[in-house]
Amino acid sequence: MTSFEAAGARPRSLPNGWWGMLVFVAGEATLFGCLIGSYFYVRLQSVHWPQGGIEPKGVLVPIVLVAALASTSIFMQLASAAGVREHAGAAVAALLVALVVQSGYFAFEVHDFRADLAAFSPHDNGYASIYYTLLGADHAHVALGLLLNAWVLLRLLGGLTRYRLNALRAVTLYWHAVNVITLVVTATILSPSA
Amino acid sequence: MAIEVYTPTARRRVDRLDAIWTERPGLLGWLTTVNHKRIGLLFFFTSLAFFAAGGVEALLIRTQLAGPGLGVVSPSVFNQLFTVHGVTMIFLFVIPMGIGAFGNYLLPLMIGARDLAFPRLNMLSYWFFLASGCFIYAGLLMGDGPDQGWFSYVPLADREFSPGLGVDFYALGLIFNSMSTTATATNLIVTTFKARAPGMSLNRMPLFCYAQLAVSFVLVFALPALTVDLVFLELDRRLGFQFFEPANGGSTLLWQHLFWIFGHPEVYAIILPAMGIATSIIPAFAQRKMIAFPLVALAELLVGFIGFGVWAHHMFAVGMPTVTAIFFAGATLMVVIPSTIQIFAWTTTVAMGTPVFATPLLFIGGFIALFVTGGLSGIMFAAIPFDQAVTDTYFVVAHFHFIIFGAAVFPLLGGMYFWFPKVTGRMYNEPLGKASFWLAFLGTWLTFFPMHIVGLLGMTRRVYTYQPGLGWDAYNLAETIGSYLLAAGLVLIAVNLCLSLVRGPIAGPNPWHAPTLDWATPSPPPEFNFPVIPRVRSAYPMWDADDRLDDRRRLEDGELLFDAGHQMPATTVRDADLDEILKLPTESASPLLVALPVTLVFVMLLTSHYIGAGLCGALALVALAGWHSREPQAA
Amino acid sequence: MTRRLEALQWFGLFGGALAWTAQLVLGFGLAQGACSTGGSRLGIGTAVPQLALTAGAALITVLAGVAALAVAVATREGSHDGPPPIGRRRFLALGAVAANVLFLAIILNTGLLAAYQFPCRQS
Repeated sequence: MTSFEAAGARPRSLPNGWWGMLVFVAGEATLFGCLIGSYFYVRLQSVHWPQGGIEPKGVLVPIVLVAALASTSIFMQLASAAGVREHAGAAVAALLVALVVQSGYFAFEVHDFRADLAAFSPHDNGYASIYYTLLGADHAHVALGLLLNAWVLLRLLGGLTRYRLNALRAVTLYWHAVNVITLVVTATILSPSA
Repeated sequence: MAIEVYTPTARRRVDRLDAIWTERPGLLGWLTTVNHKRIGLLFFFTSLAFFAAGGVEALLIRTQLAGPGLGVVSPSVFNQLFTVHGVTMIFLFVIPMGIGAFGNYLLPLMIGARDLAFPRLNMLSYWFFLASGCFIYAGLLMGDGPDQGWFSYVPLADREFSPGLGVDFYALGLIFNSMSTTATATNLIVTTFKARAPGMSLNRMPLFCYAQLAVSFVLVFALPALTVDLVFLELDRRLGFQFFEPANGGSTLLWQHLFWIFGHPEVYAIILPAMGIATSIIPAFAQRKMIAFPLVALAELLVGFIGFGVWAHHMFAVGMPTVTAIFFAGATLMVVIPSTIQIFAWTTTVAMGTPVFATPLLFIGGFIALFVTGGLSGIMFAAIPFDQAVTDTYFVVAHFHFIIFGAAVFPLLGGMYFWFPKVTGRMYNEPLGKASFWLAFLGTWLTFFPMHIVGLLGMTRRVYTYQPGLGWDAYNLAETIGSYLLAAGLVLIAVNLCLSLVRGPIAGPNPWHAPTLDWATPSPPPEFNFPVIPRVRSAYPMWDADDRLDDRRRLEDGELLFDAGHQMPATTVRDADLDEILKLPTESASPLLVALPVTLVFVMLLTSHYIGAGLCGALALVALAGWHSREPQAA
Repeated sequence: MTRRLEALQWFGLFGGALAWTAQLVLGFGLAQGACSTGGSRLGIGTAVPQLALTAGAALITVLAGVAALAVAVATREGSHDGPPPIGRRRFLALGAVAANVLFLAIILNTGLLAAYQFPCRQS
């Protein structure tokens, strides 16, 4: 057996798909950096914040929700680790738990978003525009993550291949990034309430 | 030296690889290709077509400005011409040519790989590029093209002052285009990290690859700022958001900050592939290793990185506080240093080598002269008072054309000559090549140098015409004559290469005795690039004769062949140790099937059919699911 | 020893770059805040925050430069073109030394210039 064949059994490096996802989330993190930078740029130009007498958001519910979402990183990582050890059943179970919690988070956030829209409109002022865009962008990334998780779950139910494992690891990285981004976005949105 | 003559055993092995890797012939083959060389050629010819369009726009602009009070085109058309000229040259020519054509075709060859890390994503990137370019031009051809300048400042770009669809073609088209660029950049980064030949550790990677890595990182981190800006613009225009409306709590300057956070790194993204090409041509024609190799590699990365910290030097005249502006003045003074390191390294390498001034090296010499000149005017802009005096004049136009045309395009032209024998298997005509260089070089100087003077005399940019007797007439006429000379030089290049394609003498694998692995393959390279994956022990593998002899032995012995399918090795990131065998995808219609509904999404958004856009987006997701249902690594 | 050298090499390569990035983002934000309508009440419109930021960034950059120099010295028997890991460490360390010198110059140049532009006035 050549040294190469020995190496090929369990690669030392992370898979190409994981690296591709890393580059993608770096870009998405920059995107949110620009959105958050815009939030503070507009804020620093304003005497009153939020503008137009808009009530600052209550902090308790968003904090509980984002904590729940952040906890799914643990389940995603467990799913990934189980997949690397070729325990397909454990991977599927952990992924399913994560997906349920993430879906619950998303449902609450959609409800919350609609309640906000009833109170003030994105074309009221600069604050409203950046508020809805920042939050909307975050929710869109969560929604994409739900679709990715659902797809990977479906594929894993058909068996564990190297390709599907790479997908699971890449999607796990995606969720870690989305969870961190959501924490930062939530902190930004709640900053007037502090 | 390259393997040119095969023993019967070697021939059998090569034929087997050929059978595995050769794609379908004909149109269907091109529509479903995932081969990096074919995709590179698609990028090449498509971006060349956009270059021609941008060139025609430039000639119309110059003809309109040849004398005072001319009416060659109407003011409205003129505004569309300079806007689309800028958009075309930056987004549809120089970036796709730099990374989509040169990067795509050459990077895998230079690192000893058989393809990029994500071949299907590569083809998707091409379809997005083609579709986004056509999308932007559809507006121009409909007479409702973007006309607000390539950086589209608000409030001019807002709905109130630009009620037509031109700005929407621009905004949506560029968001679409950025998806293509991001995909290619991602592909190049992962390929560079994971697909290098065994032994090609980070300190042995060609400088061309460092340049491609740098430009890819710059694009990944710069494009999101543009995307955010364009989304804000469309939300303001379409849905009445207030991002840029100061009366309602927004900020006009927010557009400019976000745009230039993208825009300045973008101009370094434009120059970096050119620097990479220069670092390939110089060692080959000086027959010498690059002086200060580690510093040149680092300088390529630093140029891109520091470029993120100077953006507001485009905004010195907006009335920023001095304390804010000074950050960028200070950084702008320092950003020239990495470029200077490279210029010293290039010129010293040529001076200390035994240079042969063939056409490619002439273009690099021209590049250095134009880059230094453009850099000198650029450093002047770091002085805030000077910048405020000349902002929006032709002095600025002169500076960026020296850099973007002179310093970014000249190496691309030199690179076309340099790699022509490799891609086509034929040699170009050298006397014609030299003539084309001198015509293009003199045309460039005549077109763009007088713009410094006429800018200092007060001629503002984007003016449709001007009064006689201001002292501008002779300079403008000279610039117009220069632009036609330049165009003639470019046409001569095209004529030379087209004639040589048919009648040029046959070129061997390495007519230049160049040092990098792209010259190890036959000319043109086979679909699988390398029959055996080369082992590398320096940054100049083709000058390591023992290693190349070892390639022949391994081909004979069947070692490192990877011929049990569409195989390519993956290596570790830092030190390129062999790590796993990848099975790459074969031809696929999936990229096209995803690109079509995505294109429709943008058309639906343009025409305000939001539900339709959602449905097309869902269709794209279904196509994406189909794509990932085919698993190339299932074995 | 190997792991320490490896860590020093990466810190040397990225330390100065990240320090400058932080100084630019935070410094620009502080300056923008100090001189804008909403932020001028925050009391940050003096040289002190800028100088503190500059000093911190400069310190990290100097440390990164020293780390890179240490790796360059430790690998002096090797060549930057040599086999990894020594060759690769030397290559990146040599580049990092130069980079950190440049980053230090940028940090001091921009930070000191900015610190002495208060009180706010239009450029």
